[in-house]
Parts: sequence; structure tokens; C-alpha cells
Amino acid sequence: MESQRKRIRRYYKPLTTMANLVCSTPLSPVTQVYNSDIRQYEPDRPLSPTVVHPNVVANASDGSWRTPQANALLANMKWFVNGVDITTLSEWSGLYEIDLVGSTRGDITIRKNLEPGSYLELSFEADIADTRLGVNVHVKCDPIVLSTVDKSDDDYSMALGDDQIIVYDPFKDKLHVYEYKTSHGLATASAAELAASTDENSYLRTIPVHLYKGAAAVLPANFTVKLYQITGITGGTAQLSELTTTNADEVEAVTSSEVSIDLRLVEKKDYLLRAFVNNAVVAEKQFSVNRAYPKFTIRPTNGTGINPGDTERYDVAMVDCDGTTVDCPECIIKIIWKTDTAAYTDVTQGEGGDIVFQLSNTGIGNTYLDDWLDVYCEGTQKESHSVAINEDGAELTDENGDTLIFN
Amino acid sequence: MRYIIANKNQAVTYGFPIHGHRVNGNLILLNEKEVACSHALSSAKTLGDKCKLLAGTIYTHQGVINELEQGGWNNG
Repeated sequence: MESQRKRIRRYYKPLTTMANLVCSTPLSPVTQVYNSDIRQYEPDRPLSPTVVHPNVVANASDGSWRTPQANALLANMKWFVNGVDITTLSEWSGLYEIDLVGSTRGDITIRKNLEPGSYLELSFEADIADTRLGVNVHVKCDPIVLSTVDKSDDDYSMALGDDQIIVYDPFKDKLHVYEYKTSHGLATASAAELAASTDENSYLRTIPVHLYKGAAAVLPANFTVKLYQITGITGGTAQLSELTTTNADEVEAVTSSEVSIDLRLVEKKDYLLRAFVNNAVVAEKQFSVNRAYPKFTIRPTNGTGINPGDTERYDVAMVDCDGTTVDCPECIIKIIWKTDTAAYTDVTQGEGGDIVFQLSNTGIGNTYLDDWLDVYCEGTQKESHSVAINEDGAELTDENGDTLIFN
Repeated sequence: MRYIIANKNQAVTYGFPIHGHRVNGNLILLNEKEVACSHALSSAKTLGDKCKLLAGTIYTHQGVINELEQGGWNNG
């Protein structure tokens, strides 16, 4: 006689997803220029289209998800213009294409020129079919702004000495690691080391600003600059909020020659820089900042056995990203240590780049059947930093008056 | 802004992706900034010299529209 059947499933961790929009044609960018003197768009999108790529990354902390770059798996893809499904907009009909194949699945190719002075918000949503758990995971990208600025040959124009879409990858930021090490007593502060750690991947980003009238550069003393955050689009007009060093945590400096931003404090923001001459706006330039979430792998490194008299266990996490071992991974990744034994599974032992835990807390036994222990860690990349405040909303500072931040 | 109709294989060799460009058989349409700013073409000093490396021809805005009106152009 056959017994009753009992179905037992594999247990998987849920999928975590990150999604953001990037312009994959930097020389046919999201900001278009209209030259009113010759009545031409530069570039003209029907000739040189703009492509926006939804960068969708999926991961499971137990390592069971094999395709972190998840574009090829997207389903129910929808693009929105100012929150309206693009397929329902007659003015966009025939002027865009959505890629359906491979790693560029979901990309939108735009062949539509926008009216000079107009702004549009472009956003993307889709589902990822998680076949492990039999569910659809919804992903939604924050909007990206499409705009067109009007310019003639004698007009003012602004140029930024940086990418229009700045991507901050904390895994490449050596300055952040240097400061983490010196503040935790892991390294001695030195001017030479600080200089060596500061490069184009550092969190403190200085963006040079140049203003031109026709082809001639305007001296910084002859104009002023204001920085705004684009908070939304209403009726084709960008809603702006002025940012200064006092009201925006990430803004370090705004001058006529440069803008400095602390990228650690930004998850995703769109900015507009405006130049003023005699209190009138003469030129503006849009740029955005995104935080990158690259793929990484994480593993425990202590492979020694457990002696009968041992009461504690020590381990260190090794994290690899883009073929490189990450120094001090705990400052970028939240690492949770866990153990499984015959008696207990999924037991949390602590958090950090390394761990010391009591073997008595794991449930490890003394017989051949139960004297084993699985040690593993679950890692998720930390999001952008926030400023530390007390219950009254006042910023917390160190003994030097510098604002404290955390993530 | 001017435009360049180049040999597609040459353009790919110099790092230009097909994706995001108009193509027609073995031809690809690039904009002036893409060609002028290409690091891979930095050995050539002028736009004309860079175009030679791509086996391409420079067109004005209207000139390239006329070429596209001949038909056969698709998204790459």
C-alpha cells in the first residue's frame, strides 16, 4: 500500500530588484538642442535617435537567481510619457520602437523631436517572471526627463565638464573606503593616501561649468549660477526646487565655475543648472545622478574544522565585484551572517564584514549525524546615505561640526 | 550639425554599436558629434579624416534627409 504523499518544495529567498533608466546614446542625449537660426534640431532624432535603456538588475540573497541582468526576462513592458501609456498617445505613434530581444529588451528608441522649451517625463514599468517562486515581480524605474533647449548662434549656451548622466558606483569609490578605514582605525590618515584615493569615481563630484556667448567664453565674474532639482513635470513644464548648500544635504558648492555634489547622498535625482546675467536666465543645462547597483558575489572564507573544545567561531566575508575583491565590503553591503545545522536552519548570528559567534547558539550536535555547521551570509547593497537627525529634526554633527551621515 | 553615412562594418570595428542607429544594408548613419568625439578615431585630426577611416561621406542636414528619402533605412 502506498503511503500518503507529502510535497516538499525547495525554499528560495525572494527576488530583490533594482531598476533605473540610462541614456545609451550619450551623443544623442535626452536633452536636445534646437537651433532657431537655422531651424534644426541637434541632433535630429529621426536621423540620430535617442535610446533609453531600462537597466534592470535582479538578485536573490541565497544565490539561487542566475541572471542578474534581467532585461531578457522582462514581461508586460510599458513605457509612460508624463504618466500616460505611450501606446495610447497618437502624437507618439510611429516615432518610437521598443526592443524585444536579448540584453536590450525594453530599450526605447525615440525618433520624436520635442518642441523647443518643452519637458517630458519618460518612465518604465515591467514584470519579471520569478519561476523559482511562481510569482511575477513588478519593477518600476524612476522617470527620466526629455527636454529641448532653444539656442541660436548668438545666444548664450552652457556646457558642463561632465557626463549628463552621472552614475555613482560605491564599489569603485576609493575615497569612501579610505575614510571608512581611517575613521575605524584600520589605516592611518595621510595626505598622500587621500590624494591617491580621490579620482573620477569619488563620491565628491565637482562638475565644471562653462558659459558661452556664441563661441566666446563668458568670464565667471560676469554671470551667476543656480542649481535646481526637477521635482516633477506639470503640463510640459518642469517643476523646480532651488538647491543651495544650506537647504540640500548633497550640495557642497554652487559657483559660476563649478558645482560640487556629494553623490553618497543621492539615490536618483534630476538637476537643472541655470545661468543668470543681469538677473535673467540666459542658459540652462540638465543633468542627473544615479546610484549604481552592480552585481557582486559574497562568500565566507574560514574553511577550518571545528575542534571538540571550540566554543566560538570566527569568519570573514569575501566580496567580489567586477572581477575585483572589495576592500571593507561592510561599508557598502549589509552582510547578515547565518548558520544552518541539523537542529536549526536560518539562524541569524550577526551583521558585518566579519563575525565571531558562539557555537552553542547554532544548534550543532556531537554525533556524526548532527555535528555539522553551514555558515553563509546574505548581502544586500546599502542604499544612499541619509543625514543623521535627532527627534527634533536637528542635524547631528561630530566634534568638528561636520554633519553625520549613515546608511 | 552634419551627418555621416559610413560603412557599417568599419563603424563597428571602431566601436560604434548598430543598436540605436539608422542602417541600410552595409551603411550606417552617424551624427557629427559621435564621430568627432570618438576616442577610437582620435588618430585622425579632422572630421574628414575620421570619415575616411569609416569609409564614410559627410552630409548636411538636408543632404542626409534626401538620402533617407531614397528609402531602405531601418533602425539598427
